[in-house]
Amino acid sequence: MTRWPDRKQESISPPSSRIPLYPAPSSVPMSTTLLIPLLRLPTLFIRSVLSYFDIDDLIKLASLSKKSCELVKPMKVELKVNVYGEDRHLEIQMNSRNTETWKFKQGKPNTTEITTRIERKDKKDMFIDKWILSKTKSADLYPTMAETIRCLTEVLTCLVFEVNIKTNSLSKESKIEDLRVGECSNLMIIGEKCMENSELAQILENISATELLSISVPTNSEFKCNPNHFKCKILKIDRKGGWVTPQLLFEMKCSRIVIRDSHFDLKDCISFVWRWKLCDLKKHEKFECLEIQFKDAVRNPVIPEGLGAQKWNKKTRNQFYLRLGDPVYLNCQNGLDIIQEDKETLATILIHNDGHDFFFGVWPKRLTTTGGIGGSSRP
Amino acid sequence: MSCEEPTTSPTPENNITVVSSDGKEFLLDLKLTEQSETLARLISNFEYDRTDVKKDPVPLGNITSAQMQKIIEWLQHHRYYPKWEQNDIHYSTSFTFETWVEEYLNIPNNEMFELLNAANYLNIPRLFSTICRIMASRITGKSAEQIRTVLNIKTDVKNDVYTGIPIQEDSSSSEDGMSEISLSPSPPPI
Repeated sequence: MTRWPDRKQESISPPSSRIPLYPAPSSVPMSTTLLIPLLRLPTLFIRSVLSYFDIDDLIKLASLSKKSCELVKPMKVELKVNVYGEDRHLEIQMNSRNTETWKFKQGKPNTTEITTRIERKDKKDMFIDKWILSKTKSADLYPTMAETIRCLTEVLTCLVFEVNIKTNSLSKESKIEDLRVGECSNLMIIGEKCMENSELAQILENISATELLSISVPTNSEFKCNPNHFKCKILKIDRKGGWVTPQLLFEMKCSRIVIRDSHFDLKDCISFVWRWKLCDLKKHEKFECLEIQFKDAVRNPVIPEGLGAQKWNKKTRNQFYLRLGDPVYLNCQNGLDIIQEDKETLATILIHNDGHDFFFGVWPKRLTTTGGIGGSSRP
Repeated sequence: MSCEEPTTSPTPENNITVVSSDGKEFLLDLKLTEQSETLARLISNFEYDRTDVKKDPVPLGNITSAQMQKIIEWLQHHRYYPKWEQNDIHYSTSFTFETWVEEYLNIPNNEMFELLNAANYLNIPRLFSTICRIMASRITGKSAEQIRTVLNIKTDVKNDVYTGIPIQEDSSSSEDGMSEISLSPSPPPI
């Protein structure tokens, strides 16, 4: 980014013959100052100008007065917090266009000197450093990161959009709760090695995802977790997770659950379907669909007669199902329909992709006597 | 970015007349008005783009003749530029400006603010955005002290909760003797 050179300001000063409209305070000679009474413009104009500021300048401006702080507050900023071992950084996006990455450099341990600093490619000295230095004397990364996040969320209207955590990288001294990110839209946990139970528990207990929780790391089958921690709309588990059972899945409050590389077989899936069929739907209103990838393909699936599964009837529902967060329609032509105990709610079981994938989805509209059931129209 | 300007001579059929707040008339090519969403909508609503429709002068009560002259200069320069895209990163984030734009906006701040108001009134997004960007470029990158000076913000007794440094009180009240920016010029004398 090329900065407007300071010397330009001299050149755009009003000619001396003009009567200055904005006289400088007596302490500041006019010849050396160009006054811009920005804060006296209508709010719409001020916000438009501020939308071109970078984040550090916004924080700087907010610190100058109460009014400027109020003007800066509505500048919507999205934060992405990445904790990848030693590489910990914030990605900050303002108004869907200006994206900045702030890296946190580890300070020297066992010293009182504060060396943990934010680094940005094009800027060495950042104003926000002063704020952090006034708040924490720690040389560790988490307090620095936490204070930065707190500053951003308090001064600006900030949304922690995404938290990415690479496991096996969290030091025992620094706990994830020190980040103090209580809630975010998307929480992504990734890693190659099997995750320690305490580490996974620490993350799930301290950071709540509202939209998407993705666990893409092998986990222990002994892991125990309160299903109430799973309240996000979409849950994705991409690696072996022996601790996930049909009962646990059913108690989760997620709308869409996707499990890849699972240990589930058809029996486990049918067990889930039975629970849904017999449950009190008021307690499971949020649930929309379950997708499980089998380890071994199911060639001749047998669905228990007791479920009352029936082939697709064009009059009762649409052919295509639109899954939450997925633009691709699922063809449920070969699915088997099941009616819940309330006699109104229809769901479909579909085993597709040559027997590798299991799908169980609840149709959004209830059965009526006059018309068919809703769902998605043909794409 | 620069665009080659084809030579076209405006004819009475493809012009409209706009009248500034001080009563001066300007003949404006319809092609130029496409950059102003306000004028474009007005022309579309009154069907002034049709040759068989009588075109009454359009009064622009919020814009002086000096501002209108300046705006026409902008419209003529950007006559053959592609349509403005709000989310075009090329336009939105850079603090690099064309030499022509630098010279065009090499005006006192009060004139620039009034031009900003006119751009907003006529809804000329490229001009509005450019002025905002150029104003931002004159403030960003400065130290807190410099920003305080440039924006003329006075010191308050309270300390900032975040930094511990003194919070400044805005000097936007009339007590500081600064003249108000006239964003809505008074109507022309009858």
